[in-house]
Amino acid sequence: MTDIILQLVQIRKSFGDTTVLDGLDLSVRRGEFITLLGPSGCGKTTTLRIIAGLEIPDSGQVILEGKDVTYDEPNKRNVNMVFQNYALFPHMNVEQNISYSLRLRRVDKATIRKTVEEALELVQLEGFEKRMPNELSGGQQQRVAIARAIVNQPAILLLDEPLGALDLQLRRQMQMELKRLQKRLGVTFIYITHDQEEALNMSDRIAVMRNGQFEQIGTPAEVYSRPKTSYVARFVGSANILTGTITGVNGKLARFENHNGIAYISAQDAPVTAGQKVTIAVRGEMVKLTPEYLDHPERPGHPEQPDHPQYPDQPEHPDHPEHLHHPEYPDHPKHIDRREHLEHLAGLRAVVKDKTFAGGVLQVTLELSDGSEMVSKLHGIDLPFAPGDRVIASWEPENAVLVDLEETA
Amino acid sequence: MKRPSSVPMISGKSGGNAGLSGKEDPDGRHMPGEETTQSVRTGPKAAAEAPRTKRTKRRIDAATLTVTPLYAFTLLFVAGPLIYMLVLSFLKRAEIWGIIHEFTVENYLKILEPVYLKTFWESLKLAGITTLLVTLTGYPFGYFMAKLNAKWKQRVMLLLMIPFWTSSLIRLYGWIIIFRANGTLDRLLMWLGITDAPLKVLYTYPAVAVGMVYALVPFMIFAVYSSAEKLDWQLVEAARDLGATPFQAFWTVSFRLTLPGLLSGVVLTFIPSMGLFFIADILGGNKVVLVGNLIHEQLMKARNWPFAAALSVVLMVLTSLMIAFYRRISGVKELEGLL
Repeated sequence: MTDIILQLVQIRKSFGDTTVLDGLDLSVRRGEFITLLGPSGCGKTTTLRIIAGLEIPDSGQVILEGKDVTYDEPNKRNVNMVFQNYALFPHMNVEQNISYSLRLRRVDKATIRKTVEEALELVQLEGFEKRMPNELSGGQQQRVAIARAIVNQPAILLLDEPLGALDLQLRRQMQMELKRLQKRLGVTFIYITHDQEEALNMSDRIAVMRNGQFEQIGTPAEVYSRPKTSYVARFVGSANILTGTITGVNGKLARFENHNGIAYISAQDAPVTAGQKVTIAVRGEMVKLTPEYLDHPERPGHPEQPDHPQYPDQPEHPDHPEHLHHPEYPDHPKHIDRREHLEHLAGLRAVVKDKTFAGGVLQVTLELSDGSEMVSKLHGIDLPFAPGDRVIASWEPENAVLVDLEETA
Repeated sequence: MKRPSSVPMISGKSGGNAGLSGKEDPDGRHMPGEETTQSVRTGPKAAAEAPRTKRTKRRIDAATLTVTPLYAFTLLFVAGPLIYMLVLSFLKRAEIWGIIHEFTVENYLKILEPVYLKTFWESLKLAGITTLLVTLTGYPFGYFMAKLNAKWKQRVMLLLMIPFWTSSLIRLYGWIIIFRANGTLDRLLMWLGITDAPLKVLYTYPAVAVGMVYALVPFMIFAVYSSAEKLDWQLVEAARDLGATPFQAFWTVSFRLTLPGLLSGVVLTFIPSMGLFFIADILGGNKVVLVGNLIHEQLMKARNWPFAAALSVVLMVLTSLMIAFYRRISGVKELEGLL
């Protein structure tokens, strides 16, 4: 049974002429870690502010724990926010900052002291009670902001890019700590970030936002490996986006063709028909490169290389040219010799433009004939590709994902 | 007196100012072989005893050259008159003109006479009332002005600045037109049916108070505005998010953080309102006598310079104590743009 703690129904909001949120729907389950992921200006902070009550939507509803709180004041809502720049009160010390909400509720002093102590222990800042915010490092301020937000035991904790101002190493560490904290407290986290890696690392679910709408909501694995749109594919893990035409379908496999060559994609997830124009997304790390040297033994389709049994280019395959006896079929053996035939085998022709090392991965940027770029991420250092080399880029059919299918669906 | 903490070094400029450097050293150090006659040295004695190379000596000469005019100016026009006034206050007045160079504390004892004490008390009272009224009007004005968008901030700022293009004395005469019997105010009130006879506000205590508030409220507005301008409104949102009502958020966060501005506004209001004698003169007739009027009178009409000096010294001490007191009770170390 899923217990929905928060529901956003058709939220719309504009500032002046700019529509920031355009009919947003979201259901958040109790205890989950959900991340709103999107570039700056996509409306994620506004969404958070509407949940917190700092902003009132033009239309739509915010339902918190079954109650419509759309027009409730922020102090009447059982949610707390960790602001991007922490927003610690500069005139109060750590203890006073953390106990602020408790003091407003006139909680007795002994309880306040105990709660503050526990909160500081939770964020590993014991002994910092009397420090002023300007005497703390960024990471410490961050922890105080979190402690301040959780002492109220909110139903939902809203975090607005809380790690944005920290350096990479601290950010990694805080990611782990936040996740640990969320598990320990069991509090629902709604987390905002523009960093896809952060979102993938921490979230139970990711909601990818674009122009005030959600493009896709799903688990990190779903969003990463089965992006629904080219936008999601590009934003999460910067996949290669290719457009082309389906030139043949055979059960599970479809042949994808554009002026760079032919590739095969899985046709299992979405039905495609021959002649259909499609967009596919392929992750850089799934793209294999082979030198465009026809006799290279590693080249797919090379006579010494056992071809994929399901590829239509296999002689025993019903789609194979040899089975298509129409004499005008361009791949027909009568028209081309084996060498030329190889040109038509799986892979897109490209030229190596640049290569860089990034974290143990060789990132090869390829230029396709139409000037567009493609990236291949390869493991290993001693790879024989230099700028200017002609290569063939290929991938396993199941690693290419059809995206942007709204119009055909 | 404030000393610049760093002084630009102009090395290689051998102007040969050895003579000057002996008199004026920016760091307040004793130059070797120099007999200091100045009583206002404040700087710590740095390692002046260390033997200097020719090069460093030349640098200091250049540095000295740079700041000398500043110090000369300050000494001449700030410290000088103050010391002169202090000395003057302990001297006797001559029968008809000038002063007799004879030590006395008579001038200070004279202030303790009830009539003068009363003047001080009246001044403090009026300054207090003025400050209160200025705070009540200027604080909200400055606070909300900081919340306006950039365009409106500019417009409001311009409106506030325009009156300063005219002499404050001339603007004060404008109030006479408003306040005098059958003036603008009386006619307006009668036309509205609120009163049926002229109020004759001019030459009354309220007229002086209004004049004071009018003259001083811009300073409060600017002080509060510059403080509120720096306020991070997200802190108010954070307070609201943590359960504060709008008023609680204002009181615990915005007010506390704009307190330096408010307090410097108070200082900027309170001190001048003790001394703005011409407002009391023009709008109060002879009915309202402030310390400022008293000093003015003693100096210009009674020609009792030593007494005027003594009054001024007491006024200065009083206001200094006031500022120290404000700082103590507020716990605010830095007043906005002041001290």
